[in-house]
Amino acid sequence: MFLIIAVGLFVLVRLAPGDPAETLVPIDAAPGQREELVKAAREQLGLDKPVPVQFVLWFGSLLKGDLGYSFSTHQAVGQLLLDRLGPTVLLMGSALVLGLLIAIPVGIIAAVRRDTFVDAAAGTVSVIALAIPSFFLAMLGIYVFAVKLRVLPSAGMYFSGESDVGDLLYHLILPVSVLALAVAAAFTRYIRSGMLEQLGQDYIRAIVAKGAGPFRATMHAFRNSLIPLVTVLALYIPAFLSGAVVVEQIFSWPGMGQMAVNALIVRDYPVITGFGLYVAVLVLICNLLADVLYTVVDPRVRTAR
Amino acid sequence: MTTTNLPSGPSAAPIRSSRRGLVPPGRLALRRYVRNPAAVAGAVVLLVMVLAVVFGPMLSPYSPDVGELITARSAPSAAHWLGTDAIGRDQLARVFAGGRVSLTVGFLAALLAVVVGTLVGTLSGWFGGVADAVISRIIDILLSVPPVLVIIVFAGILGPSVPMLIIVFAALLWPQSARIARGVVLSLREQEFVQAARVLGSRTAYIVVRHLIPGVLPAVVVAATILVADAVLSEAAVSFLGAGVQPPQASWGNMLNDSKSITVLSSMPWLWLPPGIAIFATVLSTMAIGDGVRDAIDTRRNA
Repeated sequence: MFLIIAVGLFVLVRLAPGDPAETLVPIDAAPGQREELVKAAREQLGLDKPVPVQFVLWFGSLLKGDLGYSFSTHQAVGQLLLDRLGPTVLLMGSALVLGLLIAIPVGIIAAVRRDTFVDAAAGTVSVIALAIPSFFLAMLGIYVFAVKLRVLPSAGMYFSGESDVGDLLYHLILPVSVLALAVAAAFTRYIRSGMLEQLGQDYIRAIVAKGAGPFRATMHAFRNSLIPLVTVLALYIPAFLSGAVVVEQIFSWPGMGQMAVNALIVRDYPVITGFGLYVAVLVLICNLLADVLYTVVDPRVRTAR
Repeated sequence: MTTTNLPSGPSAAPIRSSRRGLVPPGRLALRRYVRNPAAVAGAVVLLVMVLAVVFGPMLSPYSPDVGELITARSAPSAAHWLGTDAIGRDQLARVFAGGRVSLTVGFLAALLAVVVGTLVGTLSGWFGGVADAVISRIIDILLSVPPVLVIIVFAGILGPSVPMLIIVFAALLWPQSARIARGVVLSLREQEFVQAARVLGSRTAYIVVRHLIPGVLPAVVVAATILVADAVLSEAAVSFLGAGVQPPQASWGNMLNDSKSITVLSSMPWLWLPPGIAIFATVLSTMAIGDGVRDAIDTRRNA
């Protein structure tokens, strides 16, 4: 599977129009010198060798964890990905936690108080939050909180170069809120429908008949409604990364998304390919995780096999 | 009763009698749809959007691509209803032109995805076996592949283009409709009228076209609205990131990209509010239409 993706990406890179060696050499280099510089750059990048040889070299180094070097910054791509992973994980992690902290109680209440005003309001808000593009919401957020009210910063991780936790949290507020709203909107719906399904089951009626209060019955239903949710959560992560990419871009957050978009603009193939491999691996791992977690959280699946 | 909101084919939409006699299920569904205010509002908003992007450019006196520098960055006025951008292009003309691109990408990608998805899902569900298992696995994996990230990688390597957007979105969105079509077919194939058709010796192609596709269609229509919303949102996101529709061609996404600098953001809201609201209104109305159709054809909900 991984090999197929690697070959696919490599072929894609070779099909690409434009010569990376050309872009490496400044346009304003002296006309006579320029061709020699391009030739030298091509040799340095290994682009003068036959294509199959290039693939074997590339794949061999890939297995050693070497993803090549960025055309523009000359950093090792593997290291670049690692450097950018931290801020992205921080951003996504906080948004996921915050979003679930909102979605779980709201989803439960909406299901328990089904067809009431609360349920309708939660439903309407989540539909609106799902329909609004995250970058437009981010722009509105910057406009209101950074430009008009001047209470929150509009970009970056820190004010100055120093790392300070308070400063970091301050810069996290806007981007995390934008992302968390999307998470909350999506998961409120999942939790609500999962809860409704469980609340309609016979065992809930049995618990209530045995004298359990509404709170205990709800908790029973909630525990069981988590089973399908685990799978949804695992499969949601790749999609969530694309949301983070967009938000990173608008808040100048120095994460993977910003790196990928910058690489896209300057046609930095090694970085783009590295990012592509990263996404592919993430999707495969999340699928595997969804399968494994499903059998872990639901003992019935195990005994059935 | 809420395990699934999908109708399970024609048998789930019984012909119900009214005072005037039998009412065809389609008419009945339409009647229920019209009684749903959110769904009607969604249909009206989307219709206005489509009409605006189709006829707007013809009515607008300005070109979306050519500007006059003298009037650059002017606020909304009688001459330019939505003001002008950094190089004096009329913003309203650009919103129309951008909408053409955004809606074309959204609808074409969704249409392609629905046609492919319905066919693959129906056949996979009907034949079952190894092919079905393999297709289901592919569907599972593709469902978790985020289109925006794939576009970034493809655009980064091959260069961005509009046909590529449509193809990649369609390629990643078809599994959604395929999964739904497959689910409906799995329940349909066990039903008596399909069994009867088989026993009577109908050919597979006939059963698929005459019995399965019509049964699958209502659920697929609902799925299609979600795909349109998805595709419009994804197009906006990738164009916003610079991996989609390229300037000078306008799209709602890249118009927002043009205005993300803090100066434009703070002092020229007419440049970024209209395209943002346009995306939001399109997606919201499409979702409302989908919900309305689902409720209208699902007889179990408000019987």
